[in-house]
Amino acid sequence: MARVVFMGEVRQYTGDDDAVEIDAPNVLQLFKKLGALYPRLAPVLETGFAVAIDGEVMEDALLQRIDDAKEIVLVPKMEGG
Amino acid sequence: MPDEVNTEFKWVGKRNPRPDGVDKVTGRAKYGADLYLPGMLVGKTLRSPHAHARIKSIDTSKAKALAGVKAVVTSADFPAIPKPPGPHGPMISDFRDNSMNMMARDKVLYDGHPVAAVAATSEKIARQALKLIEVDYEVLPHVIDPVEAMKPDAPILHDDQVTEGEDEKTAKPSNVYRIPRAQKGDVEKGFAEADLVIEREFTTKAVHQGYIEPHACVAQASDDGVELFCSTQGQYVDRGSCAKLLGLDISKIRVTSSEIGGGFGGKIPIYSEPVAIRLAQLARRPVKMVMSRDEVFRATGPTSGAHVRIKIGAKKDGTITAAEGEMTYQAGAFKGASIGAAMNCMFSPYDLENIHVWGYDVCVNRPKVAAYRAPGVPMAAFGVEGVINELADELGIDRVDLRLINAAKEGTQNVMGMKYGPIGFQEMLEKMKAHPHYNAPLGENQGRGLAAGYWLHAGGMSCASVNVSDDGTVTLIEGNPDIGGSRASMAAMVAEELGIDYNKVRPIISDTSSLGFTFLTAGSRVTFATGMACVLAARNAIKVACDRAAQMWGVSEEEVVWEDGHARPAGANVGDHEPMSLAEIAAKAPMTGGPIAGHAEINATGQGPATGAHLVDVEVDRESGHVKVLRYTVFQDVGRAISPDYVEGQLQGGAVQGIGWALNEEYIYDDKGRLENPGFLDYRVPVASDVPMIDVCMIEVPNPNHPYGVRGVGETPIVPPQAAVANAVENAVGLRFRDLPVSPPKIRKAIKDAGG
Repeated sequence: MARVVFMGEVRQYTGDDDAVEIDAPNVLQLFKKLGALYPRLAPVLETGFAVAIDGEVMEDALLQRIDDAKEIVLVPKMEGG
Repeated sequence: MPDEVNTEFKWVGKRNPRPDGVDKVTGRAKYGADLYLPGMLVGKTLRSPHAHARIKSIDTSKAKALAGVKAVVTSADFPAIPKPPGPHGPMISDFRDNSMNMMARDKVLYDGHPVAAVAATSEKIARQALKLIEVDYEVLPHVIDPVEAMKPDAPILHDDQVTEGEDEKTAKPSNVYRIPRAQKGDVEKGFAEADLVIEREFTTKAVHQGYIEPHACVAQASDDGVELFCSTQGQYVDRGSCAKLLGLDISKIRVTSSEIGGGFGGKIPIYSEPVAIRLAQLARRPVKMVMSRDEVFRATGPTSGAHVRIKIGAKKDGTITAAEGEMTYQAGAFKGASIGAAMNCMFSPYDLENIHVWGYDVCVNRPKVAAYRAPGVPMAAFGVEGVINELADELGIDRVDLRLINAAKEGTQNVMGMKYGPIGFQEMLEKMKAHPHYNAPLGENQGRGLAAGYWLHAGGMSCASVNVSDDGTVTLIEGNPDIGGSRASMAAMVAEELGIDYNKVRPIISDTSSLGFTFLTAGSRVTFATGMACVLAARNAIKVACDRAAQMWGVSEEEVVWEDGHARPAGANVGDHEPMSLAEIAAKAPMTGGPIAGHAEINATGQGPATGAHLVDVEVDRESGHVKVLRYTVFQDVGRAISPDYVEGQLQGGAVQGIGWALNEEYIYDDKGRLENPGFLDYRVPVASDVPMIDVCMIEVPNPNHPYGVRGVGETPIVPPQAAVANAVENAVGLRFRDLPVSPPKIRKAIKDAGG
């Protein structure tokens, strides 16, 4: 069971919630459960956000296992020049 | 990815010559405009003379009738893309916007916006044809400044755009596309705990990346598909964009990247490429399109100009208790200013408990912004570092010491939730303080400035193939255009893995049909992500080679190890087998199972924070306001410098671009919204005589998530210069400067206003 933390921008999609406990085997399943909980978040999860899994940022990693993760933070995707 | 971070090297970390070096300095290298095909036509673009206007009609009949004209296109010749545009590939973003930026539909949104294009047998005829195209405009009020564009009575660029999060049916159209926000802790509480709070506003101007080579491409179409040769930072992303904008299958387009004469983010978007393809399809002949410098300035993306408000509170001992940042960024004609990256990075060199950052992504009648090295961050860092320098002065604490007190360290969590692994920021600051430059004496009218910066480099998708020839030499195929010496770094890592001579590895950059998807040369990702793919491909080739040796020796694969370029028995009990070199194994490949090769397709992750700090001395001529940069030292945690020469080049280049941004560069518009300085004579980038030799002090704290410890290095060095240079000017003349560029007229006026 991981604690999913919503910082800043994400909270516009989650109302007043700043965290939620979710049990999921990988990021894809996590996104599905988050999308079900917060329907407005669903369409932007895969395209707009990376995840920081116990502090390590991972982008486009839907199959990343998170069985043992303690804390997951949704992080806006980075761009670059 | 790595089992371990390698630490002792033969080729990695050495100053190996670039495979592409001689060709580039002798003119043999082929850039975007250097391809000539039989029957090739010249493509030219008709651009809007207005900042904002409705297109009432376009009549191309006279142009089409001109002898020598083979095709004419307007927006009607491209698919109209619905809103929302639907799913897209990496980095293509809103391709409906991209389509309307490529060729205006109902409205033109900036001076230089394309409205039509022609392909003709000569440039002269193409230009004549452009003059024959009749466009009837209804000129509309325009807005250039983002703060003005946010006002209720401002001209609206997009009638169908409401601020994200608002109801499209009830909300009024707005130039503000979105207001992203991030926060950590409780800033109210933090400011209440502070002994000193400083709040300041800063502005920066839109600046261009200043790449020397204009955008250029050649397109050829047949019934079988499309060939595109172009100067780009990402042939695969270009391919996807062209497919979307033209309604083609991705696999029907093959894009080959030319050598690239600078990009810095500006060659990520596409502009003329789909237009050239469409013209080539209609004319059934190849079409070349090369932008003039005027077109580059008027119609391709600069970085955002910005208004930034920064508030920081600190205790008397220097501990920062809260930090707040508000950013208003120009997006240009279409949404997409780099506010997210700015929010992520602006306070991230520091270990802070309470942070609140937000920004406004604002459409204005300028060309759509593009990435420019650490996109979005230098403008915000200019404010943050300026306030930190002022805090240090007010608190009576050395500027480096104040940063050391608050420096990020392993375990620090930034505002976006990333927890840092090993990070060299503290070590770097200590090196800066101990460096001879830091305490060197200054003369009259001279000042010293410093600032820090942060960037989180990108990872992402990369592919690589290592093909071993029967003589043991290697062709390395990877998919990133080489902007800063990446061929050399890729070859060095592969040579290191294989244990062969660096010169026996030939790196080749693939076209989009010859290797799997590889993301952009951008975000400081190539040596990290594609480097990882190359290492993995080499290790896979080694597995094949070891397997062959094992079979030839009649032992199991586990009983063979690869050491120093040879397959060797793993231990004495394996048997007495003479080690076999890669060349010896490869020579037997035709008879032992076929070619020896290794491939890798990865989505790299595990990026490490990349921090830097710059120290600069300037001298100000109080009469003219001219600033001479006397001495400049860049400090940066580079993780591991695979190719020190080219890492130094990145650090020096970033500093020089930042110096130009700080002192001279700005887009200047007239009252009709037309760009007044679209050329290097009036838009002044630094030249060699403007800058001293930039000294570099590399700190190597390896990133544990890369086999050689790489951190991306290309973006961080453009983050500190603006604040560092402004700080040096401040110390030279005793006045604060919060508006970039700190150009001679501004300095002269400030000195005069102060009674000087």
